[in-house]
Amino acid sequence: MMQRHPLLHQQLKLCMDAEGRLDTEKLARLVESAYVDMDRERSRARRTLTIMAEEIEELTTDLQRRIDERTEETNVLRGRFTGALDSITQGILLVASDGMIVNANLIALELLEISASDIAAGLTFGGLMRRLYDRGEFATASQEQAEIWLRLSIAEQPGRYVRVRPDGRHIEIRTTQLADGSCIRTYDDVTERHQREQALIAAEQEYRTLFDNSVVGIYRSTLDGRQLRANPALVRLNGYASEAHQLASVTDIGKEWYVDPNRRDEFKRKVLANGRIDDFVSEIYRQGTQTKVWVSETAWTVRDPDGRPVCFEGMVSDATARVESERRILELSLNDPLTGLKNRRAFLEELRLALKNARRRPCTVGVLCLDLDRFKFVNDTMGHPAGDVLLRKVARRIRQAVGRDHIVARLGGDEFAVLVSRCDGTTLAKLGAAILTAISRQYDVRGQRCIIGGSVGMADSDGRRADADELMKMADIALYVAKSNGKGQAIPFAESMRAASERRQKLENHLRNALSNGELHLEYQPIVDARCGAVKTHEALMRWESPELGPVPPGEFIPVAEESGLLHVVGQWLLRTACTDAAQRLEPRAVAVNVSAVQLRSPHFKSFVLNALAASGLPPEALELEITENALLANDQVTLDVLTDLKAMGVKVALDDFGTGYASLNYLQNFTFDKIKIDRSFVVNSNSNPASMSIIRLTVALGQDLGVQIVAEGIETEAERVRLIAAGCHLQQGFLLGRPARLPTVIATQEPAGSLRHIGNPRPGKTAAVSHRARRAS
Amino acid sequence: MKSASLNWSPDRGWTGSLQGVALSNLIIAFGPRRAFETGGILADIAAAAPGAVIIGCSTGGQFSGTDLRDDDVFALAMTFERTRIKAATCFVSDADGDRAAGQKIGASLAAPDLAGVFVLADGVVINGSSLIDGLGSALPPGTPITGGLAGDDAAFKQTFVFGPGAVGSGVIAAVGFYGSAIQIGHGSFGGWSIFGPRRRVTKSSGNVLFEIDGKPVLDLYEKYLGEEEAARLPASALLFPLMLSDPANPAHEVVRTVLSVDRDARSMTFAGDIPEGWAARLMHGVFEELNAGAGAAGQTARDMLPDGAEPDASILISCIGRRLLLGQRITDELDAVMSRLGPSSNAIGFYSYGEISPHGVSKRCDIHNQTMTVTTFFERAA
Repeated sequence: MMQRHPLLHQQLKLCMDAEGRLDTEKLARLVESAYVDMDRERSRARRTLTIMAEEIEELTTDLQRRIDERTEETNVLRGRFTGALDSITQGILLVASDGMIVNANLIALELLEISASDIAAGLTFGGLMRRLYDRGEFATASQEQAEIWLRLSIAEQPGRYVRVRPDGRHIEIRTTQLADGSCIRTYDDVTERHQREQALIAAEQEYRTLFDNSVVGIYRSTLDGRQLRANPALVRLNGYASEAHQLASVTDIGKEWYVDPNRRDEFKRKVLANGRIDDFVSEIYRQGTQTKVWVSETAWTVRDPDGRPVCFEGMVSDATARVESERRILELSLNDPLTGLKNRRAFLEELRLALKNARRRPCTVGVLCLDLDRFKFVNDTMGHPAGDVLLRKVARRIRQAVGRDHIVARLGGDEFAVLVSRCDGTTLAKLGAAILTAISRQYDVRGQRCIIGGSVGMADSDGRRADADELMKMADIALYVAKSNGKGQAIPFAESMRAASERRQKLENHLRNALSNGELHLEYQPIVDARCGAVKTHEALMRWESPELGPVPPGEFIPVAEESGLLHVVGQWLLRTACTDAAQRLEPRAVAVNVSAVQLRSPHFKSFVLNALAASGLPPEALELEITENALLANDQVTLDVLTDLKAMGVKVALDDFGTGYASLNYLQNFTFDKIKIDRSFVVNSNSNPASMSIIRLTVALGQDLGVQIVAEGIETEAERVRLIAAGCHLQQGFLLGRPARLPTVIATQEPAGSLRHIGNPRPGKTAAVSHRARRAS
Repeated sequence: MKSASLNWSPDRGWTGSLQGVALSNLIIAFGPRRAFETGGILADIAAAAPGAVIIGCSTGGQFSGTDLRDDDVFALAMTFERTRIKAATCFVSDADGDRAAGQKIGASLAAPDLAGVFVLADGVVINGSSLIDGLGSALPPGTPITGGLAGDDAAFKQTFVFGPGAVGSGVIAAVGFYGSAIQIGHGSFGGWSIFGPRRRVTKSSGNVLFEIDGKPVLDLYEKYLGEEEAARLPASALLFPLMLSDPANPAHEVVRTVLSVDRDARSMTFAGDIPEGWAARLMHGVFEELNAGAGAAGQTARDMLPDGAEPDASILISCIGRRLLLGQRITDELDAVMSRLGPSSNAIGFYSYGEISPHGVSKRCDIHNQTMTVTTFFERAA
């Protein structure tokens, strides 16, 4: 039986009743409906196909348009790509996965000596290699190597290698394999780079030799204190086995290398601030031990192109021996080799330190300055070795006197000082007294006995903000006062002393230049036979007219000159000028010059006098040296010998200010003066004080007995002149008889010898100014 | 569990006695809207099975097994012995949108032992995608959701859904199955073939599609339908469903079918979202392939039951579009499903405006169109 169509089967089933009767009407409707459905379906299928074909046509057109556009774009890109390839300096070769050469830029074509048509004709990579081989490109390789090379595909060859061409050029060849198996090979002429590298290697080798063999340590370190390099010398210095050992061991130079951890900070600060640091001396630890050595570093900052610090480099040398010797030198420089006491420098350092501490823990710091009296005498008479022995003994006594708590120094010569770090109101006075007592006891120096004394100036910081120099100056001022007051005293500084000291200092400063500036000049006062007015000689008197200070009295500046040592120079000038004036201008040709004890003690004094006489042509007899009693107090043989020698040559010697000094007539026995000048105090008092007149008469009598001329000084009134003449004193000096005056004035008023002169306009001079009536002696 | 099929026809009334369903817990009924609105059918059922949850909806044709009838009502009465049942209903107008309605239903049904949810919803006014999205978000993850959107004989005007406490248009009715005894299988396949070029959704909003490849979508459909069939839009558009796929996840493919058209706006409204940027291809049906798809849905739903057991009951929901295309040969696809479910399986079903089932590949519950969707129920014996 024929198989019915399922749909018809379904339709028949729907149109058949339970008894198997067929509803033909219904069947016809179903069948018709099925046909309509089929027609509709067919029509729909046809339409769908048509529309789909149209859509596909549309899509295809669109696709073709897009392909055309993309092809156009691709061509443009290809042009750019080729242009770009040809414009770069590397050779580029593109090899497909099957070994065919696909593309090569101009440089590659040139380098490989192939043409674009070779590529178009299907040149393979293997073919290219064979061509290169045949042209001798592998001449620098062995035959075997070249054969191996030829067998390798591009992908099998190393990704990067350098081939040396027969002409010596170095070509770097790099191959990159792409995902599709093709390869891009680049050719780079690296000859110059190679040469630079070779030069660098040579330079590096050169520096390495220096680095390795240098006896100086060389290093590089990071800014934060890690060691980066250390040469063998540095490794040895630090006590490591190797550079690696040192680099691994030192992670913080500041903490692990320097003994003082602050040194690294200081190093960094300086080297960063100045770019370099020289002779930076530090103590360092040697590796793993507590052994310390001193090193000297010279280092510099290495910076990047933008100027930022990158690291430090430097050199290190062992400075232990140098530091030790410097220390020894320093030690020597701080001690007085003669006494073993501290020297001035060390004393000042100690004083500064004490003052600094005193500011931190308030207390009073005191200084005593000691100057020996008569030490120079000992030195001069007993010789320097004896002087040295004496100084050592003095030093010992001072040290014993002040005890261990205070610092004693010898500042120089016969000056000593004591530093009292903590003192109260009485400490300094007690110490001063103790020192003076101690040093004043008799000394036994090389079998000879001698006694010296001293003066002490004291100053303390109590209530002052004084620095070391100021405190020393204060003690010096007090010392000066102590000495001026007659020596053997310990005197504390008082503010009132300062003005006098400053005045003295000022005088000294100006006096130094006074001579060269022509501020000094001489005035001459006649010494006259009062009976007839005849001028016998002139006393030369030094005058100082300072532009800044005005006229300075001799009584003020002569002591300053004496203490400051200027008196030798000034005295020399006075002697020379006076002799010249007397030889050339004065009438009579005679002059009297005052000489101090200091001058007399100069070993050169005699030659000064003789030179002045020789230079001026003045006969020795016309020169009279006036010396005071005090100058003879020391009664030393040196002075007496000088005077005796000069006297023997004809130079006259006068005893000045007779009666004012320490009354010892002893020297009149030992030395024969030519003249004795009675001090003006006796003349002034002669009218009122009978004793003065008696002394005058006695002196005149003494002179007559000894055969010495007597001169009265300070004659200012006619009554005095007459009274003195009556007493037998005919030679007189004073305002009444002639004021001190400058040479031109003196010359202008000069009259023939023996005449009495009248000088008007009385003014202050060596003697007190009084008005007087000029008269001519008969 | 036990199950029984019930049939009501306008001229004969109920076939047989309803007494056998007195102990049923759940009765699901499908029929024409006019039958539910006028026939007193729901009252009959409620009286016969006073303890049962009764849900159902209007359709585009309903069937029992392979017996398709447009005027009859078919019902399936299920008596569960070890499974708890809970119903939830909602008027979409009472919720703040379709998604919120879904969340409300889900919140009501959610429980740790929830084994699955069967849901029916209005097929014209509700966006099925939003509903399922909201429902799924309120349920424990992985809970299978099956069901469909009600139909109205391909008129696309007004559908009817009922459940406890809600009857009429704009209704959502759902049933939750609880416990470990119940096994629910599901399968959903179309069997449609794609044709023509690959297109792209260039303008859309929710489930309204405006443009494809920059051109009005209605122009495209009218061109393919021709003048005569274009006049029968929107129903005729069911002949050309749209397959969408997410370019970011091409395996997730969904088929969308048309619910309505707007000739002025040149737009079409589909029974699910049409996301912009997704790929779209037209589909057409070939009888043999559609039938094979239906068979695969039945097989998959059965295979999910333990040891491939024959289901105690099955619900088949197929797309109205398939019926329009297959015409008189529609029963071929029912044959294909029933042959897979087994000879003794009680199965009813209907032609819908949207099928709900976990996606075959992504397993995400979603609204489908143009598919045969099969839900199988099996209750383990004690």
